[in-house]
Amino acid sequence: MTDKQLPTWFDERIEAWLDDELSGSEAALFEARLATDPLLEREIERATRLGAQLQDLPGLQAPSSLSRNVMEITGNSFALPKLAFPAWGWSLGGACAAALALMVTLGPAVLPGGEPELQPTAQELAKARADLALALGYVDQAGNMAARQLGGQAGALTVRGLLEPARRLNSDGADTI
Amino acid sequence: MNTGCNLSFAGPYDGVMKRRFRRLVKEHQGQLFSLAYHLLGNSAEAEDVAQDVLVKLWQHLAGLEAERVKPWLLRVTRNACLDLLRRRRYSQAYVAETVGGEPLAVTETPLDRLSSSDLGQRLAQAIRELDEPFRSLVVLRDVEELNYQEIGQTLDLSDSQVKVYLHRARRKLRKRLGSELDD
Repeated sequence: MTDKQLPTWFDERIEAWLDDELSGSEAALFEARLATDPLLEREIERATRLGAQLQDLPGLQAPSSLSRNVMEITGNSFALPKLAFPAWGWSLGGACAAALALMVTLGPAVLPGGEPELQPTAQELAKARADLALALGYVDQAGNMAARQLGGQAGALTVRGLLEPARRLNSDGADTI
Repeated sequence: MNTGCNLSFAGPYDGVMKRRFRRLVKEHQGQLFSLAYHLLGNSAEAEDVAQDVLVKLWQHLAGLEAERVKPWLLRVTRNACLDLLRRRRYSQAYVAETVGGEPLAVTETPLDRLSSSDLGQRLAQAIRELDEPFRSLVVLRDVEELNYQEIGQTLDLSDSQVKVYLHRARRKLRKRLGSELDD
């Protein structure tokens, strides 16, 4: 097989020579050989044809279903993407959001002295109170994490201050029932 | 009711991220699908991989700087394809062991069908037979036309490594095709 007659040093540098990436001295040596060696010339022709064939390989278009499916999946997800935000910020934010949501939705039903438009039954109130207690458990957990992140007593006091309305709401609700 | 807390994480932030995400999907989906297609040789699997990668992009979007998005997407796509190819090899070996007979041969791929010439089909097969990272290098450079820097970021290689490995990959292809490259 005639391929074996081409010295490896030259064979290994064909692609680099075609990309004009040989150093000056290497290029000079390579080109001196090329002037006298038909095997090297043939391999260069093969490499050139290979390059042309590679360029002809087709890039492909994505099917239209791809973006549609991706938008459906991400559009229906409730979780926001992760934000580059301190960990305690999420805990505190979550605690605030949960407390606010609970007070807005359940406040009229359980606050003493309030005049709700619809009077819930005792059973509904008990269920609401149980849900509220469970939710406050999660809020407490988030609050404690935030307090640890804020650091020490100051953090604990801050978080306690933020959560106090929700705690009061819960205990007032219990009195009502 | 004043709760003393006005933090809001959704709303405007959510809208901005969704717009950014839609733009990125439009910009990159073709390249991700094409890369997966050339590495896997299967349209349905390529679409599944591209879909999973774009969903991951949504989940990680806020932590990614704009200039890092493209190499991140390509890297995650390539890794997903390599995982899939590994699983495919294991399952083929398992089937061959339990059912008996030869492992399933790699069948004709879409790339083969798209390459109309005999040489094009042989080239597609020769690319599939390359080891990593040579196969990815050829696809990223010669099919997806990425520059050396982008390929380096995707494959975690230096520019000089990309050049050297790419030359090796092309030399392997040249040797494999041999006289088929003669006119």
